[in-house]
Parts: sequence; C-alpha cells; structure tokens
Amino acid sequence: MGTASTQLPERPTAHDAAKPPQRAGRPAKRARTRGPASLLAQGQPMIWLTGSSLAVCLVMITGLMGLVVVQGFRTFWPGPLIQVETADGAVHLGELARTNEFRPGPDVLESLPADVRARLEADAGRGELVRRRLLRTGNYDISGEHFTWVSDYEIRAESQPEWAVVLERLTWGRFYGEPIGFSIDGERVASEPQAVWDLFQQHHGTVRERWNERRDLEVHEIGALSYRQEQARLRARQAVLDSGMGSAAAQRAEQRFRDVEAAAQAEFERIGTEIAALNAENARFALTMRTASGQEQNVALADIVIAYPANQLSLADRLAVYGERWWEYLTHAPREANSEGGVFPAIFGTVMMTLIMTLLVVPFGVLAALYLREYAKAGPMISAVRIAVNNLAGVPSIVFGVFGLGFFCYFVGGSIDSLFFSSKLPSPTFGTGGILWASLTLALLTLPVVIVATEEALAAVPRSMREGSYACGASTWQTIRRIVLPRAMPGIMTGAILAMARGAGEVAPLMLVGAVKLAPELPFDGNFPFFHLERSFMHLGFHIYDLGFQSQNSEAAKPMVFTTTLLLILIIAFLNLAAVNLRSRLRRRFVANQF
Amino acid sequence: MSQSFTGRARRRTTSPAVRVADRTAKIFIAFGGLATIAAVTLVCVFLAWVVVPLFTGATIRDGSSAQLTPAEGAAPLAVGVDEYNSMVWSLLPDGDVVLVELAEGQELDRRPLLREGNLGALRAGLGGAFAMGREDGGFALGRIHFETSFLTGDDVPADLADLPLGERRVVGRAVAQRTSPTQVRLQALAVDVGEPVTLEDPAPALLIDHSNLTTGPVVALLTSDGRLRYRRVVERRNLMTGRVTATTSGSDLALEPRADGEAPAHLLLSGRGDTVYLVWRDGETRRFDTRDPAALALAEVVDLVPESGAVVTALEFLIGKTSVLVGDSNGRLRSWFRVRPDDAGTIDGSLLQPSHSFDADSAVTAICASSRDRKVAIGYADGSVRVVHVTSEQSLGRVTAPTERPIDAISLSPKDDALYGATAGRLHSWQLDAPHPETTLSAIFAPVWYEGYAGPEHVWQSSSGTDDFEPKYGLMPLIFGSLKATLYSMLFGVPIALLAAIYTSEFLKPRTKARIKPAIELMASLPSVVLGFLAALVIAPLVENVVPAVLVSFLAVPFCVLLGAYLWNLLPARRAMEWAPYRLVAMFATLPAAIWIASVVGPLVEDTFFWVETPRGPEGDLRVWLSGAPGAGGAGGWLFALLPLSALTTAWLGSRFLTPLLRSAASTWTRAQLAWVDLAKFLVLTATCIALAIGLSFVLDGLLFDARGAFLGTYVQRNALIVGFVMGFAVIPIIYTISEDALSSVPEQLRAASLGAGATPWQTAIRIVIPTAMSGLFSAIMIGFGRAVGETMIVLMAAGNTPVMEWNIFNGFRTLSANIAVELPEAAVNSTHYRMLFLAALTLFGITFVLNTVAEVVRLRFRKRAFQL
Repeated sequence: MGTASTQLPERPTAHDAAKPPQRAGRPAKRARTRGPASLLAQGQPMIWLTGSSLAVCLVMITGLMGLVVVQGFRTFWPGPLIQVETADGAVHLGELARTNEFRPGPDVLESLPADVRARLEADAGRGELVRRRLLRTGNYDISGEHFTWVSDYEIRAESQPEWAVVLERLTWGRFYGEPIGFSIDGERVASEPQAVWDLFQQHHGTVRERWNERRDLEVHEIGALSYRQEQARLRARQAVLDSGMGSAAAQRAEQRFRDVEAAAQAEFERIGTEIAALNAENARFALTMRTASGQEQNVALADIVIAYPANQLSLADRLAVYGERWWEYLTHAPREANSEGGVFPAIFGTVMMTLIMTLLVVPFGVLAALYLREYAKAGPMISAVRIAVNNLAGVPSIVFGVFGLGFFCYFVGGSIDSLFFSSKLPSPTFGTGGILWASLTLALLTLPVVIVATEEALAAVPRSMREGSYACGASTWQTIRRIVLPRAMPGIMTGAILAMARGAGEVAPLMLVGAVKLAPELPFDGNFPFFHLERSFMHLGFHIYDLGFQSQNSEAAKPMVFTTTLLLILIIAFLNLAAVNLRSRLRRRFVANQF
Repeated sequence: MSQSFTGRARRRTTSPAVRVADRTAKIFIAFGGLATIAAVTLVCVFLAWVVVPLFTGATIRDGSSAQLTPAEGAAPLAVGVDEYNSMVWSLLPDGDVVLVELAEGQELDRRPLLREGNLGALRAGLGGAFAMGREDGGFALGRIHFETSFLTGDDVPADLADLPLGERRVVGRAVAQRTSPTQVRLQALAVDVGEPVTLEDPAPALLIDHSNLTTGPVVALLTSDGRLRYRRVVERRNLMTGRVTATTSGSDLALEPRADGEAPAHLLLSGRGDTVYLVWRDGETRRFDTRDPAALALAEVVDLVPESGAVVTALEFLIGKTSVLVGDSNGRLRSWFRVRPDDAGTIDGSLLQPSHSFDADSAVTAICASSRDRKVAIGYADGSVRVVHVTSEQSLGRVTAPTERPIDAISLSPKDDALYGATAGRLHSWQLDAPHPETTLSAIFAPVWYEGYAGPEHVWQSSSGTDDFEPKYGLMPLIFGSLKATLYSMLFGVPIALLAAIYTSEFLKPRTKARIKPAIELMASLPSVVLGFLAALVIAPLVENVVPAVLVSFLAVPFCVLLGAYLWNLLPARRAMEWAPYRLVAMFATLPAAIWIASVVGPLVEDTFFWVETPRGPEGDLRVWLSGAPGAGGAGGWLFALLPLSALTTAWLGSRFLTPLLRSAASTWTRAQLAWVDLAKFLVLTATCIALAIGLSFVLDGLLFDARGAFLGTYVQRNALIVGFVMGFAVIPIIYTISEDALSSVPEQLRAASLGAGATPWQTAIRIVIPTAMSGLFSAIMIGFGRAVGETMIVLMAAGNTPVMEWNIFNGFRTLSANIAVELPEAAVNSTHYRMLFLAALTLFGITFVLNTVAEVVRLRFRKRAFQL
C-alpha cells in the first residue's frame, strides 16, 4: 500500500476519494510493508507545523493579554522608593519603573573614571551586559524630568529612606521627598518627619473636603449659572433674528436677558466669596518637603491628592493605597493632560455612547431582519440585499466615520443648526462632531451584526412552531409577537451585545465624529434638557490613542495607557462573554425545543 | 355562527383589532426594514455624491460686456477686478490706470502712475503689483489694488440711507453696497506707488520686472545700452521725519548682443529672485543665475519655442513665480520650470525643462495666472478665451468673445469665479465655476508632473507651510500603502491562521477545541487601538533592538517544529500513541527552544552577514548595514530573500526524489530505523538548503547586485514588519474562525470513508477535507484581506505614516485609512482635499466591497456543494 500510494499519477479529488480505493493490489505485500512506511504517510512534520501554528496563535493572544493585565494592574501598586547616589554626586529618589540591560557605547565608556571603565570593559569582553534601571523621580517642577536612567556601575550608594514620601499633586505630577515641616498660617508647627506626618494626616482630610466643596461650587453652581445666562442670551439673539432688531419681542427678550444677567452676577459674587473663603482656609496649611538633592519645597495641602510614606507601608497599607488609586481612577476626571487622575468622563462617554447606539441599532436591526425573514418574498432582490448587508459588515470602520462626518455632522447637523440654532451660528451646535452623531455612525456600523444575528435567531425558530400557531388561527403578526420573537429573543440579545462589544472597541470612526481629547462637560448634567446630545465626549479607546500617541511624555503616560487598555479590554471581554453565554443558553433551549 | 365542541359560540371572521394590528405591523415592519436597508445603501450613495464634483470639470457661462475706455485706443497691459466683481481697473501702456464700474460701464477714476518724467518700461504681474522703469534710468515699484471700507450707523451718508440690502450704487469714485441693515461697504481704487529709486550710471529702461522677497523687493532691469541690472532694494523709514529712503545693492551684467541686434522682448524675474529670464521674440531665452546679486552669470540658453516660424506672443509666470508660461503664435501654451538633475551641467545645477502644453489653433495673446491655484486663463487672437489647469492638464472650458478680435488682456477675479477679457476696447466677462480644477481621473491615479519634479510621479502631499504650495493629490501612494500593509500582514497571518484551523478541525479533540476556539475568537474582539498602542510603544522599540534575532526566528521556528516532529517519530509506536494527547504540549515546547536558538544565532548571523567596517574592524550591525553606510558588506540581504526559496526548493526536491527512494527502501526496515533515516534526511536537507542559500547569496553579492533598495532598506522604528506582525492579531482570528467553520462543515462521512479506506488522518486532511473546503478557505482569506485593507488604528499608530512607495519591509507607509483619520478632521468642508479624502474612503469601500462579494459568492457555492455531499 505504501509503495503503491506514492505512485499515484494524480491527486484524488474529493469525489473519487469518497469512493473505495480500487488500487489495493497486492494484499500479501501490504501486511509486511505497512509498519515502517506508514510513518511517512502519517505526515508527522506537517501535523506539527499546523499544531505549532495554533500554538503560536495561543501564545500571541495569551502573551498579549498577560502583558496588558500585568502592566495594567501594576500601574497603581505603590512600590518602595529607592534613593541612589551616583558617581557624579547626584542623588535620585524614585520608584522603579523598568529595568533593562545594555552594552555601553564607546562615548559612555570615555566619560567614566578609569577603574569603572576597566571593570566594564572586562565585563564587556566576557559578553556581559550592564543593568540599568529607570527611576520615576517625579518633581517635574524642579528637575524638568519625570524619569531618570541609573546604570548599576555609576551607583555609589543605594538605600530605601524611611521617610521617603510620595505626594500625588493636582499639578506638576508626583513629588518624591522627605517631609521636614508642617506650617499653619505660615508658622512651622512641626519639623520632625513623624510629627509632620501625623499633622498631615490630621488635617489633610478636612482640607480635601473643603477642596471638594469648592470644586462642586465651581462645577455645578457656576456651571448652571453660566448655562442659564447663555440660554437667555441665545433667546435674545433668536428674538432679534426672528422678529427684527428693535421689535417688541426682541426688546422683551433683551430685557429678560439683562435681568438674568444681573441676577447671575449677584449669584456669581456670592459663590465667589464662598470659594474665596474656602480657598483662604485651605491656604493656611502647607507641607514642607525636601527632595533627595536637598532642595526644599512648600506644597499646599489642598494640592495633595494622595500621600503615603512608601517605605513604611505594610501590605494592608499598600492595598489601601492601591484601592484608593483605583477608586480615584474610576471616579475622577483626568489631570495633567490626561496622564494623571481618572478616566471617569471617558468611561461615562463610552458607556453613554454605546447605550445610545444600542437603543438605535437594535430596533432597526430587528425590523430589517423581520422584514427580510418574515415578510419579504424570497427572490434575487432579497438575496442581493442579504449579500449587501453581509458585505457591509466587512466595510472598514473608517469609511463609516467618513460618512458620519459628511452626512450626519455636516449635512444633517448643518441643516438642524440653520433651522433651529441660528442664534448660535456661526459656531455649530449639531453641525460638528457630537455624541449623537457618533452613536448614529456606530449604529450604522453595527447594523449588520444585529441583522445577521437576528436573522439567524429567527431562522432557528422551528417551522413547526409557526405552522402550529397558524393552525390555531393566529395572524402573522400574532405569530411573530407571541411565538417567534420570544424564542428568538436570546439570539437578538446576543446580536445586541455583540454590537455593543464591537461599538465600544471602535475608535477610528469616533476620531472623525466627536470623540475628543478632553471634553469640558459631560453629555449629561443637571441643566435642562439633561441630555446634551450635541456635545462632544471622551472615549476610552480614543483616550488610549491620544495618550499613547499624541502625548508629550509618552513614557510617563504609558502605565496609564496600560490601565485604560485593561479597562477597555475588560469591558469588551465582559460583553463578549455575556454574548457567548447567551448563545450557548439559546442553543440549549432550542435543542430542548426540537422534537 | 356555528357551534364549537366547547359549546361557546365561535366567530369565523377575524376580529378587526387583529386585522388592524396585523396590517399595521406589516406596514411598519416593511417600512422600517426597507428604511434600514436604504440607510445602508445611503452610505455608498452619499460617498459617491460627495466625490462626483471632483470629476465634473468646470463651466464658463456668458456674462456681460462693458465699454472699457471711452475711446478705442491702446490695448490695456493688464486688467484687474475686485473680489465682489463690481469694478475693474485697466493699466494702459501710457501709464494711466482707469477704473470702470462693471454694471453700467461708467468710468469712475483715472490716475497716471507716473507724475513726472517719461515711462520707459512697465510690467504688472500677479495681484496688481507693478514695476515701472523711467526713461531717466530710475524705477519705482507699486501695487494697484482696491480699498474696502465699511461704514456703520451714523457714518453712512444720507444719500445712501435708502440703499436696499445687497444693492450697489456709485458714490463719487467708489461703489457702495449695503451688506447688512446697519452696514455699507465702499470699494475704491488704490494705487500705491513707492518712492522712485534712482540708480548710478543711469540708462533708459527697456524692460523691468520685480519680485517681493521676505527681505524686501528685488528688481531686474534691461537698459537700452544692453545691460542687465539686478538690484535688491532696502527701504528704511526715518522715524523722525517719516520719510522712506531706499538703498539698492546689486550689480550689472553687460549682455552679449545677438547677431541680428534684436533686443529681448520679455524680462522675467523669478519669485525667489534667484533667476532672471530674458526672452527674445523668436523664443531664444537666456537664463541668468542671480543667487549672488554681486555676480550675475549666464546659466543656460534655451529655445522656448523650438517650432520653426513660431514666435513668443505672451509670457507670464504661474503662481509662485517659478513656472514660466510661454504662449506662441501657433497657439500653443507651454509651461517650463527648472528641475535639478544630477548631471545638469549648469552653474546653478538646474535645467529649464518643458512639462505641460496646451494646443489651440490661434495665437496666444494674453495669459493670466490665477492667484489661488495653478489655473491659467488664456486669451487667443481669434477672441476666444480658455481656462486650463496646468498641472492636471485639464482644459476647463473655452468661450469666444462676440467681437472675435484678439484678446489684449485677460484677468481672473480674485475668487476665481469670473473671467474678464479686454478686446477691442471692451471688456467681456464670463462667470467661471471651477471648484476642483486640479482633479481628473488621470491626475489622481496616474503619475503627474508637478513643478520642480524631474518627471511625472505619484505624490500625495496635501498641505504645507507655504502659500504658493500646490497640494498633490495622487492616491496611488496611499493605495500602495494599504496594499503593502495588507501584503505583509497576510504573509504572516494567512499561513498561521490556515494551519491552525486545520489542526483545530482535524487533530484536536472536541473538548479541547471547545476551549481553544473561543480563546482565539477573543483575539478578534481586541480593539485595534489596543493593538496599535502595543505595536507602536511596546513591540516596535523591543524589535528595534533584536532585528537579527527576529529575522532568524522566522526560520528557527519552522526548523525547531520540524525537528520536534522528527524526534517524535523516534518514539516507539506504542509510546507515540500513548502520548498522542500531549503532542500539543510538545509543540508548545518547541517555540521557546526556537526563540532561544534565534537569540543565540541572531547576533552570529549579524556578525557574519551584515557587517560594517568600524575603526575596530568589521562589526555586525544590521541597522547600519541596512541604511547602506559606506564600508558595509555581507551577503545577508540576499540570504534572507533566498532562504525561503531554497527551503521550498529543497523541500520539493526532497519529497519528489528522496522520499520515494526512502519509501521503496524502507520496506525491509523497522520503524525505528526509518525514523532515524528520516531525521537524517531532514538534517541533510536543512543543511543543503542553508548552504544553497548562502552560496547563491554570495554569488549574487559578488555580482554586485545589492539587495538594499528593493525589499530591504533603511530601518525605521515603525515599519511594515511590525505592522505585519500586529495586524496578524486582527487578521488571524477572522481567517481562523471562518476557515475552521468551513473545515468542520465538511461532512463527517467523507472523513470516515477515507480513514476506513486506510488513509492516515493527515492524508485524509490534505486529500479529502481541504480540497472539499477549499472555497471556504478562499473566502476566509478574502475576508481577512478585506479587514487588513481597511484597518485603521494599527497602521495609524505603528506605520509611521509617510506616504512613500517602496516595498522595503523595514520602512513605514501611509494607508488610505490612516490618511483619512489624520487629515479629514482638518480638511475644510467641500474643499478639494475633503472630497479627495471621501474618494479615498470610496476607494476603500470599493476594494472591500469587491473582496467581500467575491468571498460571499464563493462561500455560497461552497455551501451548495457541501449540502450536495
């Protein structure tokens, strides 16, 4: 058999392969030759090639997920602070960010003292590499650097100072140093680290409370006031545009605007005084820090978000700091050009956009699928439509973005603006990117997903159930509503969830239709009509792009990007798993339903 | 009413409520469904609707005609219109500027440029800037333009109070128009004439031209005694008296007179002031290098009108004052610009070269270049005017003035929305609508000869810092980029995905498969922005340091895997069957082994094949080698191209000749013996393959073919290798899922029959299952291809985004999709740029639509065939 099979003149096709082989000529010989020759026929090397391809796929996906998970969860872990003194006399205090090994170039070697150089060259001769560590040294306002590379050979002394404290500040990023003084009203009341730290913990809470109160005043009350004022101004302008300059209606609106403005002015002043009082109270407290290089710096208590003595923390303390940072990350707005603080607006924007998109895409997708499957008469027209819908699933997302920008933002939005928001022109209201247009664009993008999933779900409802319903005298709609739709519901849900997962991860079209680096206001707030669908919004995916790609200091932003990536992947993986789960439940249900 | 068996009366008619509900639902669903489908088609239709105006060309419609000068007299040298098309100035040869209102033809203003003395030479260029040379040898520069002022509220004179909105009225020497209920706009002529500048050693000027540089104006003069004078003018304003004094610097060059003693007819000074052209009527042109004002020199002599008998009848610069437009008596308009070939042989290293030409049947009499783009209006001797776009060689339209007399002067309005031709003392106007003159199908998809380029090229360059920059909208570099990204990612992704799918469907137990498949499908749902971020900020910097190891690993991984397979064959038959479930684990183990080998062999390969001459002797440095530094040597480039080829060759030779030999010889051997011999065969073949590749690459290198420049070249951190690898994450799961589905849906009885007939699982897979599922696999590849073509975020972040057209795997590129993402937010609505980006989107749409339709059709056929089986 073995010898015979190699002499086959042509490759068998599927059809004749299905027929019994007719060339097993010499049965007596076959028994003898089968053993060794079958080794060649097994194609072990080829099987290994296929299997290792699968292994490569799995390694790729697990490696990537592992990297994101490890890096993402590591970001907020408070590591110990290391203080190193280098050969040139500089002292660096910071957290370890990365370690790598390198071969020092000739220019580096030239600049070194002779003994170090000789040692290094001896090492290099043996092919050894030099380890260097990247320290996050912070103190950007003093040093102008976030990070410092420290090579092992240039270190003279290394320690973990007991009182090295990390301050996360509202501006200028982190501060690393030792607390050496605490002052109230400009008077130093403590100068021992322990005493300073106790005082800090005693006052920091109340100062932060006042700070939060102040921010609430600024964001909510002043925001609402300016919104009212702006609305009144727009109404006045609209009246002028509608009924002409100097008409009675215009004058009335103008008068109203002046009244509102006057009232707002008084209110502004009142809030201003309140804010000033809170600020003054907060300004009384300050912390004096000394950096590793000996510089002293005063930090206002209100400026400090989180502070901890990194080298004294127990595991529980570390967990507490870790949790606190995650909490801040998930619930606060970003600071420092998005590289610090939280991503709450981006989470909010992603969720809200995805929800609006789902609300738009599911009804229309289901309607289209119902039409295609239950109402339309089968024919070339319908199969063409079906091919087109399937095709649309393969159209690149950026094309939808282009369409969304041209059609929704400029064409539809521009028309809405000139009809209803002429008082605001030439600054656009709906005539530019916004959350509504982004949702609509993504709804169009995910429409094929919903249509295909719904069609599959409808097709999976057994014909016998429909026929039973008709036999009982139900109308088409009654059958659909009472029999088909309930059975198809899990499938439709699966489609909706898959659409959400696809929509939440799409970034390219959003870059064109409304996702922005930093949105001043959320698309939902306490001012009537509460939902402001014309506003641009922040999005986790765009946040990643912006932070990783457009940021000034991508090295400092990288840990945050990993965390945001982790968050986005978790959201999408959660949605996908939900869909997979639903699908398997749906399948089980139909297996039970079929007789 | 009949009696049912329950005893209750039963209605036999459908209740109206049900009927209404049914009908409403039907209408609603049909409407909603059809509307959804219509919305989907709207995408394509809308894109096309935005793109179409790019190709609709232009229209020139007849407008009005007005008396230009009261008496039929000298033809004007130049005319200019204001941006509201309400009035026109014309510059007469005697130096008078006449302002005529367009609606009524009323003369509003007339001023002489020169208050005293006699005019020697006068030339007006773009935007009304003029230079005049006086007979006493001095000169003056100036500008004719319009002065616009707005009057509001009480400033509006009483006689204009009743002017209706939008209407125009003549007020004294100005034209007033009401722009809003409270505002009136006044337009009047303004002629700025600079202080006359006198030169030492004066001689009457015959010809003059000037240009305004950032450092101040420069002037070129031709005097009647045959000298070319080039002067930079520096104006200083005395802070105390406010008087402006001009000082000049420069030099003179005495021209060598022509044999026939004829004087030049035209003098042109380029926009940068670095070249002066002197043109005689018969086309002879002397180009002077004036980069050093103190030492003028003749750079080259060219004949602008090589056709015998033809003479130069009109000469003008294109916007930017770099291209020279030459109109001749044969009716041909040709554009010339300087290019910088390597072997120019002139003192400034550049040569004047003809590029575009436009033919007509009547002599060219007037030329006006647009102040916005590379449009040119041409007036002909038969009274016709024509508008062309020089770079795209598109003719935008031709109309004839009713007088059919030569066009003396021609002008495009500042907004390019009207065209004015002066002929026989009258001014004819036409409305011009040419929103996108630079785009034609061939200008977008074929190479275009842009100004300053040595020849036609594909270029995409949509914006630049300077004003006179010409946007270059060649789509080919972007399409090339998309294809390059797709090609490299498919080279990586397709084999892996297909092989993995084969293993999953044919060799994996159902339970393991149920766990592994969703894991790979999870890869498909990874947002591409995440992949892009990892590619650009994690993988690219990592790979940059270990390029040789990465290259070696592409060969080391297959080698290790195959070695593992041959070693596995050494196991006794029973053991092999016993351990079969752990085969996948063993396969996993080959990967780290391969990576270890790559990390060891990589630097060795670098030292041997990619060395660079350094002070310490040759050292291996792939990246320096790639950038083609002098002293770099080694045959490595060819090695990596030839290794896959020689691997294929030896594999083919091995299976064609060695395996049959082995098979016939093995009939008497034991299994273990055969396994050892097989292993030896593999090792010998591997060695042969490597030897073959090295030998050939040394031969090719010795023949002085350098691999660099084609598929290898300078290493850029963000390159096609990275993109190809990371895009694999996006492409692999799609191809994997679809092809695995196709393989799994091959009916089980085919496999059973094959196995029952004695075929091994591998033979079954390769001869039965794969041929049956072939069309499904093909459509999987097509769909993967479609995904790769349109992928945006990965290429945007990891491809470097330079629109270059080279296959170099270590260089970046710019794809259609990334280009849209980068440029569309900045493009002005309905501009050419905007529409071009829509065209890019439409192209992407088209490519993916074709790919997906092919895939869908093939898949439907496959499904039919699968059902038949």
